[in-house]
Amino acid sequence: MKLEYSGQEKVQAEADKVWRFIQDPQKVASCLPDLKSVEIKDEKNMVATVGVAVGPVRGTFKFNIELEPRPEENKVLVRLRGGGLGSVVDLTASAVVTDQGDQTTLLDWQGQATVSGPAASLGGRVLDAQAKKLIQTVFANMSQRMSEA
Amino acid sequence: MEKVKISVTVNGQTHHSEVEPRLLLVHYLREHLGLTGTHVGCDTSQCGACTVHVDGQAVKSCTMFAVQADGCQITTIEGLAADGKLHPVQEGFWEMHGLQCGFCTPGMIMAVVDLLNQNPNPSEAEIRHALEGNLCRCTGYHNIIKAVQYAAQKMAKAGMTAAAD
Amino acid sequence: MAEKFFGKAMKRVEDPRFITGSGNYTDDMVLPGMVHVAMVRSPYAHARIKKIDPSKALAMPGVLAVITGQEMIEAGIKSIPTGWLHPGIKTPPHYAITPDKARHVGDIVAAVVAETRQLAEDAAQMVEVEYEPLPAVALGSDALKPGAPAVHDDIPDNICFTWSIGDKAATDAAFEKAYKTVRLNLRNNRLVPNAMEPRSSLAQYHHASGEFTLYTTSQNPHIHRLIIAAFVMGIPEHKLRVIAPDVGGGFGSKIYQYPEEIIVLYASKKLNRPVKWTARRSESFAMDSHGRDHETVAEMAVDKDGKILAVRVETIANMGAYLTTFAPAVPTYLYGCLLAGPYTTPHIYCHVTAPFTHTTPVDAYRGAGRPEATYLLERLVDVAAQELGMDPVELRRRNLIPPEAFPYQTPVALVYDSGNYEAALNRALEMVDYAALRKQQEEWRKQGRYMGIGVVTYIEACGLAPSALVGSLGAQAGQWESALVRVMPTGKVEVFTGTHSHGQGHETAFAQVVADELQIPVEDVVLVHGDTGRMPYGWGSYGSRSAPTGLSAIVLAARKIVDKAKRIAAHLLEAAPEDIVHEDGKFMVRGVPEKAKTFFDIALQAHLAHNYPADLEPGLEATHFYDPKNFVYPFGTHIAVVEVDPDTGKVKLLRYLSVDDCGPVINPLIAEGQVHGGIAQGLGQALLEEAVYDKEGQFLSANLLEYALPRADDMVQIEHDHTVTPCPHNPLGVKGIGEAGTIASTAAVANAVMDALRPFGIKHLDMPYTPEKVWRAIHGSRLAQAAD
Repeated sequence: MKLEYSGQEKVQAEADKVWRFIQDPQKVASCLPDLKSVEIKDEKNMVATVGVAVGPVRGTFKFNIELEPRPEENKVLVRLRGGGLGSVVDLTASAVVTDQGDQTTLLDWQGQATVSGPAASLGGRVLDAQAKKLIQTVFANMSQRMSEA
Repeated sequence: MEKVKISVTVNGQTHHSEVEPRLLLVHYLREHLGLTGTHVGCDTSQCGACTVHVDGQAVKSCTMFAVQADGCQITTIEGLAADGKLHPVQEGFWEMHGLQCGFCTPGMIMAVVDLLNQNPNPSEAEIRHALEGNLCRCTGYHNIIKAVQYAAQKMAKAGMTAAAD
Repeated sequence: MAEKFFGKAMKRVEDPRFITGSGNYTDDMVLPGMVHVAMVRSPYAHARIKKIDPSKALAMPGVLAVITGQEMIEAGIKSIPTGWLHPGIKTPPHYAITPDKARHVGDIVAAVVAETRQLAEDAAQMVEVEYEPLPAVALGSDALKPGAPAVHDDIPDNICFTWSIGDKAATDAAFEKAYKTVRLNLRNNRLVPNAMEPRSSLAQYHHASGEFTLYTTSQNPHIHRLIIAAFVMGIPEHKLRVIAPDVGGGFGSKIYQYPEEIIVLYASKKLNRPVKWTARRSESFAMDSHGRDHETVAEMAVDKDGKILAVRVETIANMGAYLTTFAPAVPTYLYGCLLAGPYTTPHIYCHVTAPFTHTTPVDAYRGAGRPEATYLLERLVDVAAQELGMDPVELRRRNLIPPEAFPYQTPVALVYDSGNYEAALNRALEMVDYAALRKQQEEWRKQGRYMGIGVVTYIEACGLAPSALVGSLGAQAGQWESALVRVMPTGKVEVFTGTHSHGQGHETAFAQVVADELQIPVEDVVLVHGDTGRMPYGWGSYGSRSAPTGLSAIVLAARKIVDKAKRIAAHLLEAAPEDIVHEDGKFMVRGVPEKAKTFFDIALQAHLAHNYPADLEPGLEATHFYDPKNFVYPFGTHIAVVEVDPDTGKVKLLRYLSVDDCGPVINPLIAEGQVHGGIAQGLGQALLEEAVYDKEGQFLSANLLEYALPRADDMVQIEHDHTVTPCPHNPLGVKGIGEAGTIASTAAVANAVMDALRPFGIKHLDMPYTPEKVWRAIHGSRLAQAAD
C-alpha cells in the first residue's frame, strides 16, 4: 500500500551546520529510533538495522539507506529500501533546506512509502499512525541533534 | 539463544524447564509440556483459543512469555475437571451444545470460568460482553450463551464457587 | 419397543474430548524425529523471482533444507489441477512453490525445513529473494480492462472463462414489455473463511515401503489422495494414506488441495523425516481460498401486480491468482442455477465472466454461490416492492412456487423436488408478528428511531450430487457417497463414512440413525471417518451433502445388514426369511414373538458360522455406494430486525428469526446449531467482514486485527422453528442444513439495514454496513436533502 507524508521541522541551527549533519551518514543513522546497528558503506550509503513494532509485526527490519544531498538545489533526497519479517518497505523522501537567517533552518519534507507484505495487512489504521510517528521522531531527533552539534 | 530457567506449576504439577526468553506461554504449554488442549487460533491475540488461568485469572497465553509465568500457578483445560468430574461450565457446554468443531472451546470454557468467578449471575448482555475476546466461528454464540447460563444456575444451586484453581 | 433415536436432541458423543482438551487436531501431533517447515512468501502481489539465495539460511545450525519451485519441478512434481472444467476454460499452472513469478501476496517462493518451527521461521527470513516487482491488479473488473497486467503470461486478457445460462432473447423480451424494471449494481464483498483452526499438515514417509501418511486439516481426505497421487506427485494411490483427524471447522476452506500439503510430503521424502507445517493466522488469510467477490449488475422486471417477469444478471466473478479445486463451479452452477429462488420467474438469464487477478484464489465458502444468488435476488425483490409501493412480503407471496407445482422445472436447469414455501413464510411472519412490527417501525420513525425489517424467502440446492449430472457439467469427480457398516461378533457396530465431520456432529447424528435401523442401543454404534486407510472411499463433506448423500449410503448399507440378519435368523429359527420381522430390537417369526433372536445372537452366529445357512457368506458387514437422484432443496424464511443509529451509523441487530425446512430433523440440537452458526457467518458478511485489497494488490485486512469476525456482542439469541417437507428421493427424506443459515442471513440483514435507511432516500449500499459507511450514507443524503 502507498503512504504519503509531508511536514516541516524548524531546526535551531544555521544551514551550514544542517548540511554538515546531513552529509554524515553516521549522524543521520543515529536519528533512527530503535536503531540496533548501522553499517556505513560510503558517504552516501548505509545499512541500518532497526527494531520495528507495528501491531503484530514485531522484530528487526534491515534497510539500505541512500542519502543524496544536493546543496546546489538546497535539497536532500533519501531513498530507503528493505524490510523484514516478510514485509518490504520502499521509501523515497526529500527535504528542502531553507536558512531562515536567524540561526534557524527550515526542513520542508515530504515522502512516499510503499509497503508490501504482512505489514501492509495492517491496513491504513495501525500502519499509518505508526509510520507517521516514526517519521516525526526521525525529524525531531535530527532537529535536536543538529542544534546540539 | 540463551535459555532461562523457570519453574511453573501447571494443573497442580510443578515443572522446571529451560526456555528461550522469547517462548510464548502457549507454546511452552503445548510443545514443552504436551498440553495440547490449549489452542493457537491466531497471531494477533484476537481469538482467545489459548485462554488459560494464571494465578486464578483468565489470560490469553499468547500474550505472555513463558518466563513471565515463572513461579505462577497455571490451570489449563486439562486441569479443569476435578477428580474426573466435569466442571459445571464444561457440563454446560456439553448439555447446551455450546461447541461444534471444538477448537475455540477450551479457551472459551476457561474464559467463562473466570467470568463466573467474578460474576456468578451474569445477564445475557454481561455474558456477551465478557466473551468479546473469544471468537467462535461455528455456533453463532447462541448455545454458548445458554451453556454459560446453565453453568451459572448449576453452580448457584450447588452453592459452589467456581474456584477450580 | 426399541428406543428410537431419530429426532432426539441427544448430547454429542464428540464433546467429552473437546471440553476436556483431549481433541486430536493435526497441530497437536508429534511424531518421532519430526521437523518443521516454514514458507518464504511473496510480499508482492506480482513480482518476477530473479534470484533465490538460500546460503545464509542454510548456514544456520539446525536448518535442513531450502526448497525451491525449480527443485520440485525438476523432481517431477506437477502443477495442482482444478476439479471442475468449463468449455474453453483456461487452467494455468499452479505449482506448490511458484518457480517464476509470485502472483499474489503470500504466494510461496521457497520453503525452509529446520529442526524446530521457530528456527524454520527464523531461517525463512534469511532466504534472500531478489524480486522484480511488477504491476498488479486486484479487482475483477480492473483485470478485464485493456492493458491490465496479465496474471498469467499466456492469458493476456485475464479471462479464465465465461459462462451463461438461460434464454437471453426471451429474457430481454420480457424486460421490453415489463411494467417496471429495477436495476442494482452490487458488489458481493470478498470474505475470508477463518475456520478457527488454522490449516496444518504433517507428512511421514515410510522409507522401507515407500508409503506416505499425510495428516491434514481436510474436509475430504480421499480427494486429496486422488489429486496428490494421480495428478501432482505420482505417488501410487495405494501408497498414500490421508488422515483428517479432528478438524476445527472448514466452511469450504479445507476442501481444496493446497500447496503446503505437497511441500510437506515432498520434504518428508527428501529428508526421510516427518515434516509438519501449521499456518499462522496471517498465512490463513493469504492462502486459504476466499469466498464471494462478485461485481454484478442485477435486474428484475415486474408487472403491475408484482409478478416477477424476468431476472437478468451480469457478473464478474474474481477467481484470484490460481484455480483451486472447485472454483469454477461456484459462480456458475452453484450461482446462476439458483436465480429462480423460490419464485415462479419464467425468464432468467445470467452471464458470468471470471477473470484472474493478483489476489488469493477464490473458491467455495459456506453457501458457495447460493448466498450470492440469494443476496441479489432478495435485494431486487425488496427494491421492486418499493418501486411498486407494495409490501415486500406481499410481493414475495405473489411469486412463490405453490406446493402443488412440484416437481417444478425452473428456467435455469434445476428441478425442485418438493417444497411448501408459503408455510414457512407464514410461520415466520406469525413468530415475528409482522403487522405489529411494521406498526412499531412507523412509531419509532416518528421518534427519530430507525428500525429496519428484512425478510428473505430462500431455497438452496445442496446434497451434492448426481454424479452423471455434475460430470456433464464439468466436475472431475464423482459425487456419490460410500458407507461400510461392520457388525462385530459382540453386536457392536462400526460405521465408516466417506463424509467428514469437522464440527457437524456426525458421530452423534449418524449413530442415532444407524441405531434405529438396526434397533440397537446408540452406544453400540461408532462412526469412523476421515481416513483413506479405513473407509471404502468418499468425496467428503461440503455442499450440505453429508446427511442427504453420506447418510443415505449408511442407511442403505444398514438395511443390507438387516436383510442378511433376517436370513440368518430364519435359519436359526427354522423359518422362511420372508416370515422374519425385525421389531422391538429382535428378529422374530411373524406372529410368534417367542421365536426370536437378538441382534447379538445374529452377530455372533454370523461370525462363528457354526450353525449357518449353507448359501450365505459368513460375516456381517455391508457396503453401499449411493448416488443421489437429484439435489435436495431446503428452503425457509428468515427475518432480521435491526436498528440503525443515525448519529454513529452503528447497526444493531434486535431480533433474528428463521424458519427452515431441511426435512425430518435427525438431531434438533445439532441442526439448530448449524442454523445459528450459519446465520452468524452470513451476518458477518453483511455487517463486518471484508477482504480489502488496494490497487497494488496488497491485502490490507489480512489478519484478525483488521478483519472483523462476528463476536458474541454482535449476535442475539436466534428464534428458530422448522417446517418438515421430506425430500421425496432419498431413504430418510433428509435435506442438508449446513449452509442454509449463511445463504439466507446475509440477504435478510442487508434488506433490514436498507429498510432502516429508507427514510434517508438511500436505495442501495454495498456490504459490509460498517458504522462509517452507514454514517457517511446518512449524512451524505442529509446534505443532499438540505441542498434540495
